[in-house]
Amino acid sequence: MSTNLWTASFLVVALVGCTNDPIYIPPGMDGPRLEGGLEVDMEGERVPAKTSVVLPINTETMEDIEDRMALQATITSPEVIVPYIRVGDLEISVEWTIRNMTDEDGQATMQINGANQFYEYDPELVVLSEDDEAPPTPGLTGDIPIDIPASGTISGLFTEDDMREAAIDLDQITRGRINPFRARYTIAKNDREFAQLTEVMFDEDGEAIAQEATGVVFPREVFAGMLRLDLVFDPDRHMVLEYQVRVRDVRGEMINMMFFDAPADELQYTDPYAAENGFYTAMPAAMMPPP
Amino acid sequence: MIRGVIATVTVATIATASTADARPASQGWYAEGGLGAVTFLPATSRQAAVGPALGFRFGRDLFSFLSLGIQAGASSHEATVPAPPEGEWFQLYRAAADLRLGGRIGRIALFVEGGAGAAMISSNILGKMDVEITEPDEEFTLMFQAGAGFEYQLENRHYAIGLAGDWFFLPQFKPPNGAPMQAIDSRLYLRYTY
Repeated sequence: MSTNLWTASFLVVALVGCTNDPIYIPPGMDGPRLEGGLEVDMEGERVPAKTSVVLPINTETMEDIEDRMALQATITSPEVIVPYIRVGDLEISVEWTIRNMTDEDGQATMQINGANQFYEYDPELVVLSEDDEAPPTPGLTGDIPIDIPASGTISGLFTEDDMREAAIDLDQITRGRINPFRARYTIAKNDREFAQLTEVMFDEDGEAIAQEATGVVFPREVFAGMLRLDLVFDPDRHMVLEYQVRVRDVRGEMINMMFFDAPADELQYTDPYAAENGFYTAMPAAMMPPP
Repeated sequence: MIRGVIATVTVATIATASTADARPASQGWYAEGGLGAVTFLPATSRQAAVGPALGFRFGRDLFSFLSLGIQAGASSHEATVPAPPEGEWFQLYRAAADLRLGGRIGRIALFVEGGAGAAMISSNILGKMDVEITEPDEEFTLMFQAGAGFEYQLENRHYAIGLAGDWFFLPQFKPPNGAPMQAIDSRLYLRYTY
């Protein structure tokens, strides 16, 4: 009897220790609500509402650096840099609710882009064709039109799988120079590696020329995880998006639970739009619009 | 003479005899395991739903009317914060030391109890903007509790089943405008006394 009781007690304690609970990340500077469908630009085009959520990542410890350097030592190609936060370290998901504030049925799209520690990705800066009829460069995930009934509310979730795919696509597009259409519309979440391609070149008609492999291969162990999420909300009438980013800290001790109230030296990446303190740089040149 | 002795013995026997206790209860070290529910009280009840709970308690009866124990409990609750997020759950883990005062009337024992300890919440979902019951990086709080219950002694002197309710108070888990988190833990339990 005594043994059984103690076993039960230890089980309870063990269950407490094994929990991998989600962490609910505070919203970006614009707050947890995004209003869209209100603004148009000079040409009468709708201006999507945008916000960014930066993950509060703890400063890399000496132990983490040693682990990273040990992994780096196993990789022969100097172009393959092991990131601090890798795919699988953090499992991210984004839950959202869209409210139609008008009394007419409407449609909205949501897109998530973002950055890892090396690069950020903004599809608006990527022009793959000079043809006006060409489809816009895709975001990392989302872009699916959602019908919202008049005064109605629709909820949804970008799952951990969606966000893992987005993180790998981001790495493929930037470090791998893979065409965003190819990266986005092929499933990469279970890939063991991806090969870097030659830079995107354009022919005289402004069309992209076929790329070739450079021989540099990025194994899964070095896929970079996302550190910043950029939400783009584009409704066709007045609507409100509310969102919640949640993260499971699988590797442990990666997310600072004080969030951005933590002392600056405890956070590795604090400025979402600057290249200081080891954060990412702008888009790789190969992905900029052709001259 | 013999008649007198027999009569005296008979009278003495009748006078001193008493019926055996129909439900004797062991006293000493004990252990309890219970299942029940935790219900939050207003100020936080809108943000956290009633949830299933389990608890364990170990202790010793110091006297027939007083026992000292330690307890551990866990409960799981749906966070009913403004969406999103929706349908998310959190767990509340509690540990405390307590004193129990009671008495027995036949097979029924009644008691009151009170204690103090600590509690831990498993996630920061109640720290969401516009809810803010927990602060960033706040997982632990002191806990105070008081309650009462009764036990029914089974035929076996070691076993009893009981029904109890405890009010508990978590002073550090406090929304900006409102009282700290309070809840009622009600449970049905089995007690084994060694």
